[in-house]
Amino acid sequence: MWDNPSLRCLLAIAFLHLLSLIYSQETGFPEEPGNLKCITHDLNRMICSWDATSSANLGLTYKICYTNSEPFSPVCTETEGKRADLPVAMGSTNIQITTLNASGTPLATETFVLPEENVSLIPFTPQILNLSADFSTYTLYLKWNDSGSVFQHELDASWQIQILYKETMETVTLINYESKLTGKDSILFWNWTSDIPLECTSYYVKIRCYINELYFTGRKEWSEWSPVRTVPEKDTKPNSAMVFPQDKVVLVGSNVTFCCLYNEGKSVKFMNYGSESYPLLRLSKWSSAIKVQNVNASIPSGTNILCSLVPDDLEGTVLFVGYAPDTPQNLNCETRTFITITCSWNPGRPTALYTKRQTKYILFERISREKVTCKVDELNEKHHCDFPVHANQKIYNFTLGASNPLGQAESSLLIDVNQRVHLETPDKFTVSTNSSTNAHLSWYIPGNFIKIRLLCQIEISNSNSEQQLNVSMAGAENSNYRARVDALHPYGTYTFRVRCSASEYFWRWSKWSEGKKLTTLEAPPARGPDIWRQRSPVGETLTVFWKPLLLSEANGIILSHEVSCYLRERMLKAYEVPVPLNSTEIKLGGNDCLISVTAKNRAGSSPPSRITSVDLPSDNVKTELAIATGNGIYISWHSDPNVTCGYTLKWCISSGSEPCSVDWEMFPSNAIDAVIKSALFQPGVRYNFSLYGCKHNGYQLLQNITGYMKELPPKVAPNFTVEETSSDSILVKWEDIPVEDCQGFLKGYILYFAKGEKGSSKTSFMEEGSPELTVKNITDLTKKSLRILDLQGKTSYRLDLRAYTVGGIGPSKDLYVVTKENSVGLIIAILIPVAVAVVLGVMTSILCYQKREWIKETFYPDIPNPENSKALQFQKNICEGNTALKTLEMNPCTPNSVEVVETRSTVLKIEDTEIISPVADSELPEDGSDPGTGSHVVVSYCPPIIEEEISSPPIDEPVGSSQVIYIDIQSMYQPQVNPEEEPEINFVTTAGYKPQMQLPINNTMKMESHAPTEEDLDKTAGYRPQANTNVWKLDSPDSPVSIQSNNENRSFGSPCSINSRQFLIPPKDYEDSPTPNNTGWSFTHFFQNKPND
Amino acid sequence: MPWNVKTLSFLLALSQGLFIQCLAHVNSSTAPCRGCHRNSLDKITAKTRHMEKEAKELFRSYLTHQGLLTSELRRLCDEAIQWFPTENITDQPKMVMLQELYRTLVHMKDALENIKKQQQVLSTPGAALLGRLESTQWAVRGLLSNTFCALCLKGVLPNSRRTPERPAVTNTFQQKIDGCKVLRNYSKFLEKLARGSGKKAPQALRDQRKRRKGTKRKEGSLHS
Repeated sequence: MWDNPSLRCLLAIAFLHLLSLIYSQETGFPEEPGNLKCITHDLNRMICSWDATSSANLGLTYKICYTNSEPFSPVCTETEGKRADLPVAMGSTNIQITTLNASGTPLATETFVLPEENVSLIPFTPQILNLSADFSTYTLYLKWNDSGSVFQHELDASWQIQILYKETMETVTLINYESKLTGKDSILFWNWTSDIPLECTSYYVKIRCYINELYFTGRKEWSEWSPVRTVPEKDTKPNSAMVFPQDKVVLVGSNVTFCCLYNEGKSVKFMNYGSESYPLLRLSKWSSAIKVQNVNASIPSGTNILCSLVPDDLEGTVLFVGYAPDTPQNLNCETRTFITITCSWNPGRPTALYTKRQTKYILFERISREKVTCKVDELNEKHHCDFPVHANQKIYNFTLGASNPLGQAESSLLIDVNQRVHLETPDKFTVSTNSSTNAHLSWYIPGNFIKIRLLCQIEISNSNSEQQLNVSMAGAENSNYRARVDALHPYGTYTFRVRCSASEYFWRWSKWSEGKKLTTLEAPPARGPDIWRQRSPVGETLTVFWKPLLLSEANGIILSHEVSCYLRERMLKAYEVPVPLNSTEIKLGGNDCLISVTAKNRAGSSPPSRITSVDLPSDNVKTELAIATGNGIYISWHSDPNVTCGYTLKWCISSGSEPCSVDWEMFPSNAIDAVIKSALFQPGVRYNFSLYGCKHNGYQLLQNITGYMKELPPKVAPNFTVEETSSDSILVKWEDIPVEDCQGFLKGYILYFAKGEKGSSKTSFMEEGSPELTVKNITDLTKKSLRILDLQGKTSYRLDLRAYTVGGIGPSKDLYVVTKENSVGLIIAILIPVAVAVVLGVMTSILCYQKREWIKETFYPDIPNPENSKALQFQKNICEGNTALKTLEMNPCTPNSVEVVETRSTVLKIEDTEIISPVADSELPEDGSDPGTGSHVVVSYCPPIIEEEISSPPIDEPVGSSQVIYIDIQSMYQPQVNPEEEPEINFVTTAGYKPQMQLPINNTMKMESHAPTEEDLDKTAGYRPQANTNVWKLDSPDSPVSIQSNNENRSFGSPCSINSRQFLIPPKDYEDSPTPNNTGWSFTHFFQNKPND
Repeated sequence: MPWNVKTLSFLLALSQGLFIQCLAHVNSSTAPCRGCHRNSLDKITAKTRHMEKEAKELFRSYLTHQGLLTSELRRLCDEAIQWFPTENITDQPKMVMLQELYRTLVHMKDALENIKKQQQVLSTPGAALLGRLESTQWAVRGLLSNTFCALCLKGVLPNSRRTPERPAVTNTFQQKIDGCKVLRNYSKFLEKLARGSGKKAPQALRDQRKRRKGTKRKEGSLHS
């Protein structure tokens, strides 16, 4: 039965139903309350709600009884709804809820134990009292009530403020705000600044609350969000657009968002910041924005922002970008008048904001709590502001505040006004005098300085000095101040100016007043002039000289000089000499007198200067030389004990054609030297001085002195001539240089001489640096000639003579002199070589005569033996290791190859015969052709045997019939020969080496067609034996014959001597002919070299 | 649309007529024309030419100082201003031309004053633009005086009533554009005026010569 699945399923369902029934029996009735939930808003009262199943409104009510602890009896209340307010109790609360029907009969009862943990604290939903917007600052201001009175005690409250924007209500920010609930209702404020102008789009704000009660152990939850409050975006006028923000001022480097509001139906084409376009951000269907990062300082009229719309419309705004004011720098406050305190400062970095946006300064004084608004020019580097001085206030504590739309800064300064006195520039400055030594000064300084003393500085300056006097004086109010200056020089021109400051606490000088010039009155000259006299040569007249007084001594304008002549206190004569004369002539008439000179100006006469006219005789007056110091002339003299009233040094300076002006200087009796300086002294000019000694009875000339202020090199070269020349010497003579051209004391002459042709060089000896240069220094000035010795005959010399002084060497003068010819030397030069040659010739002749036999044997034997011939001995280094390169031996001949090279030359040539070694033969190519020369023919031959008897062969007899065996070279190269051309070629090729006596025959045969000249024949004949060739023809059948069969073939067997087997020299013409196979040493080389030698 | 143009033309003519009516006719006694020179017209011509160049320089300086050198902004400046004559007034009879010139200059004087006030806030003290504005103000005043004399000598005393105050624009951008429009229109106005007077100058010279020759022929009409 249990195997039936259907049955098993039914049983399971039945079981589950049964369980359900059992459960329903356990839980009781459907009206039974359950799922109790309690929340509190104020921690005082909680709102509990529960669930109770009720299919219909049957008039059910609920009785709620609750108790917190045992001692108390439960409190009951009835409610129709499923919700009841209960007090919040510490710990747990027992709650019994009974469901009653309409007649009051309990239907179900349920008891709950509600612990505090199960109670939720949810604050009341907050309400926003006010939401306002400041569009200029993009700021939203929020105001709400914290409902603190709900709670009995202080609590920490947290608030969440949510800002949303755009139509889509996107969250901009969510901010937490903490506050304390004080048990009373409080209004809370909060503000928020937007990045985007508030006009650009709508903003929404809502808040919620959270109470953080530490002693409440239940759940603490956020309240519901408050109703949303809105800040609507700016409405645009119909058919217009607007760009925000308008005329805003922002800091450099800010990020700024600009929005363009427009009417529906339009759209933004582009938005520009300045001239640059930026990507558009869509805020709403009638608002778009751009965001500009890090803005730069704008021009004074601001940066333009454009919004171009479609259809055609353009709107814009202006943004001013600048800096907040810098802290005022170098704030300095001082008073100039004690009426106002002037504060000055440097504004620091320019703000780039002008006019109504520029920085405004307020000067605030803390002690008096007075403030002053300062008017400044933004473009000025230094700003000023005046603050009034208060009567009984010494200390001022200033704060200078700077503010502009972007910020503010301040700077402070504490001063004691008495210590910050900087007076105004003295005004109305006047200078006057009524004497020759003092002046009265007066000036005006604005301001009230009654409480302080002033210190004024008077500057007195003239052309060569500057002096400052300090004058302290009592301060006054807007007053003139006076001062007197003494100890001025008579008739002195002075410039006065004055400045002042506070005396007790020096702070700063005022500016100098304007300068005023003043000339003091005249006074009589301070002293008599320096005088000198000079007696005429005859002695009848005396010229009296005087020096003009210095300005400082004249005390005015010198009008005249009075010259008087006294004889024993009795004035004989008096002369009034007007300026500018500085000398006068007095006729003495043979008498001497005492001369007196006084200078006169408008104020009076000077004390007299006196000098006697007596000249004492002097003997043996020497002239000495002074020393030039560069800027003066050093003069020394011997002290004379008889000189009692000093020395006078007199000189005369002449300038041009004018008579020389007498000058002098006086020295005390103990002086022995002096450096005379004068502005009239010139370098290189000789001055003559006369030293007079003043003795009790007159003046005596003691010494004459000559000197220069500065010695220079002579101006000209000495004029010199060559007086005499010989083959080895020159006599040079020169003249003195005029004194005026010496420019110094002449120290000597320098003569340079060296070999040199006239016109060869224009440079001086020094520059040339000639190695043969000779220098002669002539220091003996009395010498006027010089003989130059040890010269070469018939040689041109260049002479250069110069004079020199301490100042240097003067210019040069050149002379070219040619010495005379040395005839003896020439004769000797000719005779000696001739004599030597004669002696050598004689000696050689004698020697040769004595050794004549040996010489003959050696060089000219009757029968030359090649073995003994040294001339034919090869040099060892050439022939070393090559035994073949010797004279031919008399050994039986081994056939050798003779190479015949054809040439194209029409001239028959005899070439060197090259002896080719068998080894070389073996290296020839098999086909017999030379790779380098196309027509190389090798001929074998055997030297003739002279012992054999030679018969005279017929002329037309073939060569082959000779005793000499010729190997036909053609036979060796048979394949090369064209059989058809055989007769002619045979003639050529079979020629090989032929005795020379056959040459004419062969040549005749050959040259018939070529019509050779005699010369050609000679050439082609090559080497001929020294004997007659005709004889050869007859008697020397073994003579070698050279036949050039064609133009190309130039190789022959070497010709042999008739009497020897030695190879003979080929014609010179062929020396240069290229040898076809000239790789090794050839016999011919030896001979070819000979002629060259 | 042709109807609209006609209507506008009619309204313009009407307003012009009313404006002329506003100019009080006076007898040709010299009292109100004291200080006026006989050749005021020549002076107007000469001064206009000089002012044309000055107006162009002022406009260029204004654009530079206000950062209005972009083409879009310059296009804004080209917009016409109502109180500037739409047509070349030199094509009109001399009397009308003088009256139109006078009316325009009165407006211009006020507009320049307004621009100067604005620029005193927008420009740095001592900016070149301020100097040019002041110079132009003087020139406008001078031309206005000459025009007054020219009218006065022809027996018409222009109405010296001020133009009504316009609402002040607080928006800086709009101030800049308004100023720009004024200066651009002013420049164009003077250009037309100078060109028009340039064409007529030879005729004026001929007239002057005739007068010097002592021709007693009276000028037929003031409007010729």
